[in-house]
Amino acid sequence: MSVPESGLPAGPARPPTAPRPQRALRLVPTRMARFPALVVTSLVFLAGVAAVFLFADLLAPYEYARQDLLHRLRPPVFLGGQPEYLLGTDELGRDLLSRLLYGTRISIFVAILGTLIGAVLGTFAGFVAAHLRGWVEEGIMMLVDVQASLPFMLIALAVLAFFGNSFTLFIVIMGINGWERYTRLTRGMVLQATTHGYAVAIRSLGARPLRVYGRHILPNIASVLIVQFTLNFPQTILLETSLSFLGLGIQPPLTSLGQMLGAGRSHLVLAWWIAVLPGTMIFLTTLSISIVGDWLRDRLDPTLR
Amino acid sequence: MNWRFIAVKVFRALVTMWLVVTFSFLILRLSGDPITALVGDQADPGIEAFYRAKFGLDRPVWVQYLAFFGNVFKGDLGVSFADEEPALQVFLNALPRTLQLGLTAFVLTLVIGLPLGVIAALHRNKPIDRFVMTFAVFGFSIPNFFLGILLILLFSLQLRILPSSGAGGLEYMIMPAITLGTAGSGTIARFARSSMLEVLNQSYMRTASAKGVPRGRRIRWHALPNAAIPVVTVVGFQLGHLVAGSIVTETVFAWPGVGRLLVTSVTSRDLAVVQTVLLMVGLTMTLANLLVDIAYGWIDPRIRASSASERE
Repeated sequence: MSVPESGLPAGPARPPTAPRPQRALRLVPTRMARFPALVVTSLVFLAGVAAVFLFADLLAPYEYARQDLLHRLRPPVFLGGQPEYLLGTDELGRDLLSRLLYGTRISIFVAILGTLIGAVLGTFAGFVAAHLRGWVEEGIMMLVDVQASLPFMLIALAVLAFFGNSFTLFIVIMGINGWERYTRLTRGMVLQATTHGYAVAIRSLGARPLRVYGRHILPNIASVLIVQFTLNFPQTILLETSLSFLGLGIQPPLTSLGQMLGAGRSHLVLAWWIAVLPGTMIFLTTLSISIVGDWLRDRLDPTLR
Repeated sequence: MNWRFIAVKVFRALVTMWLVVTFSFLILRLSGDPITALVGDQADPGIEAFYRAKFGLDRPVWVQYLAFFGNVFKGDLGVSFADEEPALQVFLNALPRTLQLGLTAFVLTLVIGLPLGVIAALHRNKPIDRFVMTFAVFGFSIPNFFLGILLILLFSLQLRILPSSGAGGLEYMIMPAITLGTAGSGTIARFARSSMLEVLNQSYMRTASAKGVPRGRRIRWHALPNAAIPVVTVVGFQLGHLVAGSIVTETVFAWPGVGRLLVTSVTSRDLAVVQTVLLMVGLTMTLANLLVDIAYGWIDPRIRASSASERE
């Protein structure tokens, strides 16, 4: 039992490089300098987004669909609005702060679920391709090529046009987005890992393929997949918000950041903040994830430094 | 060797095209009975049968499938129910505007992205590098619909110097082109930078400088050609982003191109038009990818040589 365990730390995640001590010495100051400012700000912001995702119903001052037709298109407090509507109201007098919080929750929920489905589906397909080889592998990789060569937005729009919109279908579409990258990565790494000493050793100890893949190879390639996840996540957010912005994603009475932005577009002259607030939220979220993702990639993949 | 490489790529492209056509056939068949949609579910069975025979829907599915292929080759892609014109014609009417905008944005992407990336690499970790990288991250993190709206707010509503929507003279194209080109130039700048950095670290660069080759010549003749190779593929990928981005950008600026046509047809469920756009864009993209692949092999002889063992 101890044999496979000792094989883990020597996996591809951290190859022992010769000039390590020297490199570490040189990198410490720059890394200290790079780590706090931007990355910490992004992490704090993302923690805030996570809190909104979890506690939107507790944080929101009003029900997000509650209308107050006597107080329509009110400006936010910092533009001279009343304190009862901190970020103002939209064309139906709905509280923008509450809508922003609930919209964030829905957008993040859809993005997490979509990215997860894509990651699980893609990783599984990658394992299947690497295990079965032959025609199955050719077929899977062909599909990967097709998906990679077409803009997914186009496929998503076509599916939505023909099947109409439902929340479930929308989530499935989000999930199909991006699976091919996990497949490509997983297949390549599994093929490589099966020739490594540790995988050969476990197999000769009599472990079944499922155990070799699940308990030994998967943990070794997980870091690369996690980086891919952080790269994919903002793209899923952008796909969701784009489709919702076009009026083809999340449908009322539900709300999402993209949908709010799309609806706010018709009030730019009178109340520009209706569009700018959710837009800023989307932008800051994707920006923070990109910054953290870049930093993670630099940390987890030493070959890129 | 060379021909074998091209043959493999062409075969892949043909399979992709076949899948695109099949996908658009399947999606239409799976989405429900078009006859029910046409005559309603209360209609007389005789009338239903008449229409079924008229559109060839009484034949076996595989016959319909083959007929669909024939129609695609003939360019007969149905009629738009919105304006009773052939769907292909509707698509072709919108195409020039999209090409005009897309090409401008593409040129903008390269003209901004490539020099920025190279300059950043040459000044690694200096303030100019930081500045370029910040611009790049901002550029590809900002959703293009939001960037478009910010530009409209600033230039159309505040400063009142640019028209917010429609197409006409050059002034109509400035904001859409910037909106569409920003994300791409960020990506290209980042990629050009990392590709350039990698090349600058190579031993042949050290050899060149040891030989006494002047810096300008080293960069122009030793570094840039080698750094260009991976950038070509990313430029190829950029085409896909451009297509996806133009869907949103054209809608924001009411630019009468294919992207906006697609969105309005999806909203009104004008299926023939959606199918035509899907097919035409899919086939064009496949062809473009094929050309990029071939160009890639042509620039880098190593890829031609290794194409036989491409999948390890």
